[in-house]
Amino acid sequence: MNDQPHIQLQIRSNPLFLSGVRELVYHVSHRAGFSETCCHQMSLAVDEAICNVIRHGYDRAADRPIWISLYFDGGLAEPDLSGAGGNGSAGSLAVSGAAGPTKAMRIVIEDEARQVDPATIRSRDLDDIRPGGLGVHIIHEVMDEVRYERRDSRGMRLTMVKQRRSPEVCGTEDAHG
Amino acid sequence: MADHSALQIGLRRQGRAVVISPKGDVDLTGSPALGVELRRAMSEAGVKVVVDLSGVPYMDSSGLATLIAAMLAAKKSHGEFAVCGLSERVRTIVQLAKLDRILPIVASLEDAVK
Repeated sequence: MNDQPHIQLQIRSNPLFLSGVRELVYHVSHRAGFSETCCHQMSLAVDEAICNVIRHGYDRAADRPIWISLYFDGGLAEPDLSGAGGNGSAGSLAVSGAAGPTKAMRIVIEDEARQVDPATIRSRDLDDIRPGGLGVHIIHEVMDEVRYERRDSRGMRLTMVKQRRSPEVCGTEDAHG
Repeated sequence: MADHSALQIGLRRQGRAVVISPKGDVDLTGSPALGVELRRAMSEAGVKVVVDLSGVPYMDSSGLATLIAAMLAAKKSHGEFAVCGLSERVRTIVQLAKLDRILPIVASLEDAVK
């Protein structure tokens, strides 16, 4: 099995790059057939994960590396680049909600920040009304699987998985981002 | 394509209220500036601070934290604080964090400045 990411990018830990990463995640997941709600949820989860790395992992240092890898589990629709597509365009890909092979999207965020016990990374008590500490809660709310682990060398790895459901199911969830 | 230029923050007085109107995404880039404006507005005694979010298409937990801090500061100083103009997307993020029952969210700007 080829477990190379479909997309991998490295950014510096500067919040200026957050909007670009959100846009990337939103648009590629949309083209892979996820509903708009799910696309927003995944871009929100990635934003929150990167914010946590910048704030807590790197103590707001803006020049440290963060790697973002996107995997479309189940694969992607093969693009028709022959120009023979029915819509007259030179090539086509899946559009949101269309049938396609992608079963889930796996997003992996890695850093070189100090290592912490993954068991200590958890949502705070929401009845405790104070600023901060909401990012982990939001990530768990919008993603189907969330796993923190130490990398072999240094830093942490966060793996988040979103299953692709029918637009009717995902698009009518009570909580979406 | 969404506009991702730096967060613009408008500020005007309406009656005894100070209306703060951010325009753009309120994420880790823009939240600190919003916090500065909120603290500045709240330093004035007897004022009601209203955050009009109608120009905010996206907010993450750093923006939520800024709003919570403002709400707690208002309570501590016996001031008034309200939020209005939430887009559907921002409203759902507020709900995800279960803040819809905690933040003083008002239906319209007209109601908020009363």
